[in-house]
Amino acid sequence: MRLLKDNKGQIRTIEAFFASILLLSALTLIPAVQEHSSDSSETLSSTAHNILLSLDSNGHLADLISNKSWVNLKSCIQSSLSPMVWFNLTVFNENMTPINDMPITSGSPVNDRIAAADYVCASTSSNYAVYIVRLQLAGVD
Amino acid sequence: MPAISIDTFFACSLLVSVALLATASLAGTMQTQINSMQDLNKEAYLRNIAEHLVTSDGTPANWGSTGAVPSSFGLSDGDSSHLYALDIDKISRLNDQNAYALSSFQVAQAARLNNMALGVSVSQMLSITVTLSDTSSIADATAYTFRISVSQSSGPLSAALQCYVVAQDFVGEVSNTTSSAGVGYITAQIPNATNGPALLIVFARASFDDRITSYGAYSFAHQSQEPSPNHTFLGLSPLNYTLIMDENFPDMTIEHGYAVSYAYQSNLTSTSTGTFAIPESADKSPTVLVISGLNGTTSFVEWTAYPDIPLDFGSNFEDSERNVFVYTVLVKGTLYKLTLSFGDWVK
Repeated sequence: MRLLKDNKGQIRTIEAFFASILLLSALTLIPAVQEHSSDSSETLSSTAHNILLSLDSNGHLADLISNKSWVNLKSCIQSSLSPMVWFNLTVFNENMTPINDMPITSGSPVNDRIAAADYVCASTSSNYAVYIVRLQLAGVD
Repeated sequence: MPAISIDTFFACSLLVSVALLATASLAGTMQTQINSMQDLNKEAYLRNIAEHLVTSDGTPANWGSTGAVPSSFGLSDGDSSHLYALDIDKISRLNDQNAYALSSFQVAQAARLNNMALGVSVSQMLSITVTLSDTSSIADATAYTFRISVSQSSGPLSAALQCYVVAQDFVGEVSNTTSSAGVGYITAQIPNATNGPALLIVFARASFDDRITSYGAYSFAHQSQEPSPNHTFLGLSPLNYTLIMDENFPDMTIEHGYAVSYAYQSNLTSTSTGTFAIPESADKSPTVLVISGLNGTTSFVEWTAYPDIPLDFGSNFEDSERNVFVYTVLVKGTLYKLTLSFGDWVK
């Protein structure tokens, strides 16, 4: 009975409880660990640059664009990439207006971590048209 | 014991427990963060090494064609107009079938990667599968029908096929295309006057890009027993547009040599004993070099490719971590896939 009536130390427990809540809530402020897939954005961007540079040897990429061979352009990109990588290619003219009138893509993006590389190429024909090619890539998690 | 002491003890225990829990949780989270950051740094570091190996010439710059062991390792052909163009001989010297092949130790020394496993793999853009589907006799010849399927990484491919059949002194040519399902058939006739093992070489070229040209080879028996595996009788090492031949048996006779590519076929000319000159062509295609001959009374037809691709060089990374970087590269105007793999470095 004496123990039940003696409530002088209860405030310490209440204080400790509040202190614990404060301590635990502070932990939630620590930023969550950023996941990074095996295909980091830098690697995908580097891959996109490599593909565009290799495909444009001897002006092949610019020739496909000049001839509006969008299907062949898509096949070229597709053959250079693993099926596990999503891609979307957009061709701009010198005014940054998209000129490919059909989507050059492998479907819907598989995740929201998309890396892109821009590449400038010039037509080898007499008009010397300049194109900006943007290749976006995303890996499957 | 007074109640205040019990309450104080309980409060202290609660605080200490929560503090310990929070510290452990924080340490775990921070460790994961640090590991993640280390992984990102490691990936950037290895990517830069891979980029250097692909885009640098190495020392000496012509180590591929001279047969020398490089003091620094790089695979580029030194053509400044193509960043990702690799040297045909440097690549060929990574194939262990080549007499001038570098060892893993030599490459690790030259690449300064003594504490890290390195693997180099080069593959063709197209995969070609050949099966013999039918055989029939026509007058004084035998007709062989082959089913050829062509695919790329994303699936079957419509491609143009250029095929050569080689048997002793006979060379035949057939062409066709594959359907949208990637399948095509060709029929080749070989005269019955010729007997011994025969070789079908198939070149497939993508309809949308002539730089995507790959080859496949299929050995079969023509009025003879089943052919021996390739390189049973000869070691064939192409280097600097010269084919160097090593005979594996003492009593051998070399009868004919052929060089075939997608749009080009010629006889190999002997430059000295055991060497043939490989013709340089502008064809965007690998060149397959075929040698026919006799070992005593046994005929053989053996072959190699120039560049000597596909190849797998270095560590196999079995049961170990592997960091992979894939490149699309040009070798003699033809596109290939280069895969560089690095293990974790040993501290």
